[in-house]
Amino acid sequence: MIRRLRSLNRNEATWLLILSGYAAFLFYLVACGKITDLVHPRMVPFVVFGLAILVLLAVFQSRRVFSRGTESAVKPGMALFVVPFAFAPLSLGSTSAVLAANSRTISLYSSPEPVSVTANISAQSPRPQAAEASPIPARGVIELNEKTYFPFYSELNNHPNKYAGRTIHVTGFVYHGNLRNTDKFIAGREMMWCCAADAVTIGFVSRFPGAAGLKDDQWVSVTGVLDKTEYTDEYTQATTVVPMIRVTSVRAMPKMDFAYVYPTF
Amino acid sequence: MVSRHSVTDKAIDVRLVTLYPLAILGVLFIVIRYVIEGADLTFLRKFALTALSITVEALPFLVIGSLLSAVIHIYVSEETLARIIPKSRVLGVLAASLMGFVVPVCDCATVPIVRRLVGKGVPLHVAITFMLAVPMINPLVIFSTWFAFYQYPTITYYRMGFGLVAAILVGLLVSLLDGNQTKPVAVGRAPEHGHSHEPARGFVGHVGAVAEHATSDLYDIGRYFMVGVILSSLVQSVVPSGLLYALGHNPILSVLVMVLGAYFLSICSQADAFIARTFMAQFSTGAIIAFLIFGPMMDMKNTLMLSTTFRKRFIVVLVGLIAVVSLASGYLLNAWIAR
Repeated sequence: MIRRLRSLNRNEATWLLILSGYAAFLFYLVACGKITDLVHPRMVPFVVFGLAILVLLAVFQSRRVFSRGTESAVKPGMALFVVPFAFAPLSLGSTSAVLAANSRTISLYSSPEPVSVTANISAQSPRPQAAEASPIPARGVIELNEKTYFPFYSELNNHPNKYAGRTIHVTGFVYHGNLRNTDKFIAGREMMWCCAADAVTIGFVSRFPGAAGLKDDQWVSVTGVLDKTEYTDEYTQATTVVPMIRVTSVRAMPKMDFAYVYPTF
Repeated sequence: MVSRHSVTDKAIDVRLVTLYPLAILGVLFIVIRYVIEGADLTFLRKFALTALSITVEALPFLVIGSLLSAVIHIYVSEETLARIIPKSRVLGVLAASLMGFVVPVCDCATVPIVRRLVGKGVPLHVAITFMLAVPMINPLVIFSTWFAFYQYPTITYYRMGFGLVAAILVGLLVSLLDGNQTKPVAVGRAPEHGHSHEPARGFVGHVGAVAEHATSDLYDIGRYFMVGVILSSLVQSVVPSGLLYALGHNPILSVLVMVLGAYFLSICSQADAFIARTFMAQFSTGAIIAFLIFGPMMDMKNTLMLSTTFRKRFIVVLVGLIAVVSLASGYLLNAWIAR
């Protein structure tokens, strides 16, 4: 009996390419830190674990590339796996600010006690928070950086009155939304809960005489004094009291390295 | 195991072909938008970012699910499963509803496991209850819900309570369905080169056997997952962000809107509480709860992934049951609060 020569099984080879392609891509994302542009840092261990399994699967898949198979034609379903890849250059090249300002939901953290109670507002009463320690230092400039953005932002929005008069410094991109043609703009940031698909825009209403002249998407460094204002959400039309920065200085800056704000818990 | 695969394989590919027109329409839509909007790539960028980030976020869990499924396939025998699963219908459903404390995984990982369990002869109502409850009634999700709704702890209680009842109820209802209707189409697929089922030898042999099954599971489920990701990303980049909010005013419509939102957005159950939190000021509590219990049980990509295993009719009935139970929970809660 003549043993059939082992020939390249195109279907198995394609699957090997897809598996190793995904593994290589995930490795690239993790190695150069781009991974946190797509998922929350706490998801990274899962990605690394998934990557390890993919490498393992690819290694064992390589044994089947030259296996004789009844069908060697590439299955059409393989094409589906390539779609997210095909668009990858577009998504990795884009900045969150561009997306946010053009097509995303802007959602300023709604304070627990809405100013105007709409007919259908939740019947839940907020848990009293008085006893809790504030993450914000008692004196000095309130500085929102990579580590402090989320805890400070939540605290300031939960207690819009408490910090009035304090000096604050934030960075973000200019977003006008429904504040266009007023003396206000939003110094916005993208906040990622889990992955970039669920990111929402958050930020601080900033009052500045030249606000209308600022261009959307421009990254700015804003310093000012905290006050509060009523803000009507662009989409929900719900009016809430939010902190407002009376701007003393605003200067343009290059896009931040850490474009996203990651809630920590 | 080997002989029937050629048949079911073809059946799966034929059903997948029916999805291609959808995918082609999607791509056409992108191209047309691109032509109309000229150089403005925002829409395309949003689609690309959404698709890629959901893939990168969920793929590890899909891989983990495939791996667990392969391990069950090789090391857990039908007999063992039959022995440990309670014979009583109610006990079986109850036990399955609490499995999240044993295997705390989210919905991308449960589908491959459920497929395998059904293939191993686990009663359908037990497997379905497992699939519905695990992504919701598990420590990680309870914690993230509690954290997201820190100021409103009752939301977490409602989610767990209504969620558990909903999963059990749907599980029991499934057990009443006609057996013919619920028969799985295809269960697992052996690699097409027709491997033999000799017991694996040595460490490499064992790992190789697991890898082989995991990889075929990953392909089987993965392609439906990809269709789900593509469609979900399209929805997210096409539907104006404000639309969902605009409809939230109406007490009746809001619950329906949130269930539809949960279905089409396909958000992971570990993250959905944070999304729901942003709707809190505007939507009724019932709508929030309906969103939080429907989402983990069913969404667009899960529906597609289930079609690797179940008949279309059963999937429609299942999605319908889950929707009805979730809507009812939302309306009941609203009525009770307004009382």
